[in-house]
Amino acid sequence: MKNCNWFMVTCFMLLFSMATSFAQDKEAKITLTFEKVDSLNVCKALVVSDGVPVKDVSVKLSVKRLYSNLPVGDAIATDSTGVATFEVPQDIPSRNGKLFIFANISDDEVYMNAEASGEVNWGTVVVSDNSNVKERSISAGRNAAPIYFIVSSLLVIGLVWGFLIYAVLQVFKIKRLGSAN
Amino acid sequence: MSIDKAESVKYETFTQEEYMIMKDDLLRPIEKIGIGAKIWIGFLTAVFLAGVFAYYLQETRGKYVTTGLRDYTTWGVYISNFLFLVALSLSSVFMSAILRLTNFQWYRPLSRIADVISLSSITMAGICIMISMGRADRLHHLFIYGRIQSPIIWDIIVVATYFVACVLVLFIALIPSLSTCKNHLHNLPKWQLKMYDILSFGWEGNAEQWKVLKKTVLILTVLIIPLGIALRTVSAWLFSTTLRPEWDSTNFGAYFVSGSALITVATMVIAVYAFRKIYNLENYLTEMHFDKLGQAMVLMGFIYAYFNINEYLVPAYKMSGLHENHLLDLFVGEEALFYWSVVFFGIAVPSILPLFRKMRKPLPLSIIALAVLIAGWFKFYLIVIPGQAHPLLPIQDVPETWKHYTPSLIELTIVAATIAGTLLLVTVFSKFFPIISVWEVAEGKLEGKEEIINYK
Amino acid sequence: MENENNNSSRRNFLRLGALGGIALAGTAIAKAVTDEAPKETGKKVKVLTADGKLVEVDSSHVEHHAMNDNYTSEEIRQGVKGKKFIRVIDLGKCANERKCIEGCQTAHNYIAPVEYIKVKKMQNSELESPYWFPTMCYHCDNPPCTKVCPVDATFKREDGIVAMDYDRCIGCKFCMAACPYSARTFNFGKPEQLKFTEEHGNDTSDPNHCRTPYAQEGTVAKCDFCTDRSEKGLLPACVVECPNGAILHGDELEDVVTNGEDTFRLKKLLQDRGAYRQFEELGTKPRVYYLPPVARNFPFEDATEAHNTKD
Repeated sequence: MKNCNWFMVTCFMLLFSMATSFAQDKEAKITLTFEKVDSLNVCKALVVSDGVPVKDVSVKLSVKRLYSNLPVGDAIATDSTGVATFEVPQDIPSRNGKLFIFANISDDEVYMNAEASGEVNWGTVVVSDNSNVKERSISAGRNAAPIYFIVSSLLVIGLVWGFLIYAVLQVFKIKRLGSAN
Repeated sequence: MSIDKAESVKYETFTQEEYMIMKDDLLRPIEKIGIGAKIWIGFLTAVFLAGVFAYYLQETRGKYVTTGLRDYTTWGVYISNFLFLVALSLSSVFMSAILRLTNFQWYRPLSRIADVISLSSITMAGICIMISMGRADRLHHLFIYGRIQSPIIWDIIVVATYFVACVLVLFIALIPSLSTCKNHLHNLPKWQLKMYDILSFGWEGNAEQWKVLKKTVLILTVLIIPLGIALRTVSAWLFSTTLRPEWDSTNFGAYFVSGSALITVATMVIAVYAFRKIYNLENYLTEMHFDKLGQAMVLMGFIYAYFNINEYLVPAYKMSGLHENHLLDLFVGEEALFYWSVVFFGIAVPSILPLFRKMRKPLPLSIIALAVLIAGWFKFYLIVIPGQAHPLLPIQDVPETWKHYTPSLIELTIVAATIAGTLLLVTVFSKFFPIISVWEVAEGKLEGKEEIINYK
Repeated sequence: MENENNNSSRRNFLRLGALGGIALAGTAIAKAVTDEAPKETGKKVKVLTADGKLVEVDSSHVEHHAMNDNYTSEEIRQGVKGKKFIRVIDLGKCANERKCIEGCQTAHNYIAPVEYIKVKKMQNSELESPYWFPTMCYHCDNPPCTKVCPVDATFKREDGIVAMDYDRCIGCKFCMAACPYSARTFNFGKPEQLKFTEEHGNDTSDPNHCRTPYAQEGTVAKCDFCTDRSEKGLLPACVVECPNGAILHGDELEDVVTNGEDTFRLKKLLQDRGAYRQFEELGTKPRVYYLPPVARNFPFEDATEAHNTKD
């Protein structure tokens, strides 16, 4: 019995290692298609391996962002035709309206990693609102001081210095009045 | 004003004899410099130079080593001393301009003393701004990149403007005295006589010259009052434009102005006492002046007390979480002894003691004034430094020295130097120019205000 | 037989890891590549991949805008085009492990006890439980510090960052007085710090190295959201270093924040989790939001050790 056990274990191990080595050779290819269905943004990821659609492999969809990719919903397994269907939300912002969408299979037992990406015009265009930076305000730069601020301060400074300069001129007037006599 | 009418007539009626006595009395301190004066000037110069050396050390060795300043207390004794000097510089406003405009005739012998103190302390206050800067070598950035929205720029503008106004107020009223110096002082170095000649700007004392002079002095007198108030208020805004609850107070400008009013009265008392004793000017700076200054001190003391109640007791009544730490620290916490001494000597003593006639005699009033002045200096310390100890987010996990600021020896030397510098400027001025305006006193006498000179 | 099998499976495993690494590196490079293919410059720059590997790529592949030699001071003052950086801090995840503080100190070449990020113990009332509260510059939209700066040395950029110009700062420290969050620090010229800056100022060995230097002596320094890393699509040092993913950093215009591991829609996160900003009543409009310390990952443990005891 013992011997039999050992034999069984060895057989399984052999099988397992064969399976894994074969598995690595299996490469999956993902093809992304984008379509609009009833005004919904639908993204289909077709997973094909050796020309045969692969079913029951989970595919993740994500959108490229600055620092990382934003997942679109949960991972979805491919159906019998090898297609995983995603609904992409309508409200994903983008500077130019374009979204860079990634579909990937990661750490799958059979197909390891695979990735595909595509660009589609599904983003909501956002415009950077810089009104708080660009407008004239007290917290803005020196070139963007509020007009009323510049005008009133120049007025006060001008008025005061006008009097001071007048006083200086009076000193010279005194001198003139002295030498005239 | 009635002065304009028949101006020359009045001056013709001024008897030569009276004038000669007055002139001699007032010019005497210039003619000879005693040994005491030399020691005093030497001492002040030494302190000032020590401060210059301390500043050199501070700039070369780095502020981490030479100052007690750390991240939470970033404004230290330089800033509080700056506030004190700005307070002193309002002497011209409270002890000269306002009295002049409101026809308090006893201002006449005081006005020049007040103007000199103002000019000296605003000069030193300006230097204080530079000392407290992290990068004094970038001072020109204020002009190249200055933002009009920043209270620091307002402060620089108003300090510079006030400085010029102080120079003009002092100098224009000095012109007739310079002429007197030129005509009556002889045993002096040549350059000094030349200086009087140049600075007197061809003054002959003719009617037109008097008319122009008085008009200009009047304009500057009117101008310097709002300027001084602006100066004081802007320096208060350096604090109240921040969001720190200790400083975030609409009361702050008025509170600072009232504080400097009291401080200028105290400064004036001490200055009058010193000049009277040292230069033997008892005939001009009379007991009447101490009496009046004592009364002014009570008035200013009560006004200052009123603003203090607004500033401290109203928030204390609410005791919001924002003010709690700071106020309890001052009232019953670690700063309590410090705080209550300042309140006692800086507010209670000047408001109550001079109510008694005996306390308005020269010596007692001068002692009171000295206490007020010292308390006034520490009052600004209490506004600036503990005001930074309780930021909105608690200070945690920092070295002990970051929590408790103690000014370093170098900082204290520099502060002492700025005070010495102020005293030095006043002293040196009084050795070159008559510290009492001859013509203003004479004018008062001519207008029949005998009491100014012969007050019993 | 067994040994052999073990070996082969380990080899397999290693191979897997390498494959994964390359794949990830590929995505990282792909992420950094701009839309239009730029001209190769031949200049290589090091880029950190999402899993912490350094990869050399041509500098043309890296998006860069401000804080670069080729840019005028005017452009530096505008910031990264089309971005509005924003941050969300999940208080339920902060355990005061201080990795963000140390990572920031290394990245910006400054030494303790100065901290751009400070983690404070907060407790609103006795009945409530204490929590750790990381604070830093909030890059306010209505910044009290830029209001008071006399020389425009601190300014608000279009990408939301409140930046510092260390070459211009005159060291008046008014911004430090004005900041209600005590976010700013001053370089008082501590000798150890000056020496450290001299020795490590150009040291790029730290994977989180930030090219925006520590302040010059006598000027004010503060958190700058690792602006030069952000423009390359690299997360700030504190975000990378946080072991619990408590700091989420992102771009408001992309409506996304991430801690490097998880990525969330910003608005949804703020709305669902009851986010707040510190001292909203001051009207400073911070760009850092907090998620209340609910559903904590671990119980609150008080810090027994004081870290910054030495001056």
